[in-house]
Amino acid sequence: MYSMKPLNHVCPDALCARRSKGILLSFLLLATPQISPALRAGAEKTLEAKPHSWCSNALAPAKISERSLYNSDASWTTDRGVTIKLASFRGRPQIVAMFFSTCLSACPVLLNDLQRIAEKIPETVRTNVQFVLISFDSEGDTPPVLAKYRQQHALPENWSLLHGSPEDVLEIAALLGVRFRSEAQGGFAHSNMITLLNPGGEIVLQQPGLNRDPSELAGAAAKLLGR
Amino acid sequence: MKISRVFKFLVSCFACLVAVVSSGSEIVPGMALIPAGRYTPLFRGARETNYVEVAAFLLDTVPVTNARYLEFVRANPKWRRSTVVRLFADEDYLKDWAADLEIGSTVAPDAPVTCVPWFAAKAFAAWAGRRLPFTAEWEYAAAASATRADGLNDPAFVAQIERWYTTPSAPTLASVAQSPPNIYGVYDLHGLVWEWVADFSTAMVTGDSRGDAGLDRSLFCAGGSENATDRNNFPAFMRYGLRSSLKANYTLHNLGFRCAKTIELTTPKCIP
Repeated sequence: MYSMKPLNHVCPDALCARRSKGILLSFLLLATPQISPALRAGAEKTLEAKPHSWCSNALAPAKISERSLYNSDASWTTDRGVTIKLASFRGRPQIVAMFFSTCLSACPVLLNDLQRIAEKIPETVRTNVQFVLISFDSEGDTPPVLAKYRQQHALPENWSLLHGSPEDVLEIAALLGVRFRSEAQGGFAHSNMITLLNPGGEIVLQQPGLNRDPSELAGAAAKLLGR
Repeated sequence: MKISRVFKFLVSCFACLVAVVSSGSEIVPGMALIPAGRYTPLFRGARETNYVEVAAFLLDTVPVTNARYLEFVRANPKWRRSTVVRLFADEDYLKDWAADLEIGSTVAPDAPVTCVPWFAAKAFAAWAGRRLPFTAEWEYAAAASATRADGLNDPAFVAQIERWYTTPSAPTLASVAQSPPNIYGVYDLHGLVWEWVADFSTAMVTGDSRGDAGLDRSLFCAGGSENATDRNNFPAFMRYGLRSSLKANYTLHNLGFRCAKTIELTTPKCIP
């Protein structure tokens, strides 16, 4: 029997567009009973024929748990203008942090911390970990601004920069235990927290503060990938 | 000629006022109009003014009751006690209720609903076509006594609030609106339960956050209260302390909520 599971798992970035299209196609076919079984099988084959290692949800449990952040309905726009949910990254470990692009004090250090964590992850599995930076600044950090930030900092493909509504930003901050408030003079005061989610979206490790040893988070992320 | 112009001007001003009141506040049942004003937050950054402007808004006159919350869970099965997702509500969610759709006899239907997390309060507000009040709004409304908007300048009012804050809460919560309302007609901002606010997570005084400080030292209570704008407002410190210790899925037996609503003006033409 074909499982509907991949439908919940739309790949957020252009890299996986082909596979997403395959999923969409198979959904349309499955939803249309009169389509011939042969055609349907063909669509499934398309899916199988275009595997994308990091889009595989082999590591994710069949059903998300009660503690999974993937229960959140918040919707985000990536720096490439693609609308996603956090659950779109289901199937791979995620390292999530909150920031804003015009932050000159803590955020550059936080970004550096994330890059140091990435470097510590064994190269063979490094790109299987999704790095997610969510902006506090719903007004200023529009997808084009975030795209520029990606460019400036030469962030690799497995990094996503997310923009969301103030309401969704408040919710994700609440879920991650990040505290912040906007300042009258512009900018945000915020706590610094790096969170590791397992492929099912549950928090497995959180590291508060800045300039901490990257080994622990890198090690935990690699362990989730069997390294 | 002149008199008639003055008269015309007055008429248009009156019409404008009527327009504002009828289109804007529309006096929603169960909500009070809180006029615009200034709120002085407990902690402010060095480069910030001491106050924040609060626009006029509507606030529930009483906290959300068990009976009202029951309507919400009836309409929203995912917020029932047995079906709620742990991510959004801890194990004590609605623990005083007899069952999913039964308040039971431990708590009164017209007592404030408690043991509800921030996520549920937020969902309730959205369902009711409202929102949670912001800290500035809540504190601004709560600064009013029965007789004056600046109740915090009245030592008797402050002393009364402090008495409540230093008395353990009763095992069974009283019904709402049992004590006199404040000058805006809002009940129970003090004396019954603590209340969630939309931006509770903007309060950063925790032991933890000292280590993960972001921008501004004045936000963190590292040096005690030396940066506070009003050191005498002890209850405000307590509320700040509570908010900073909460997580969004926490539930407490004396923590409830009420809703607010933004006044949407339909831009009345006020030019005479």
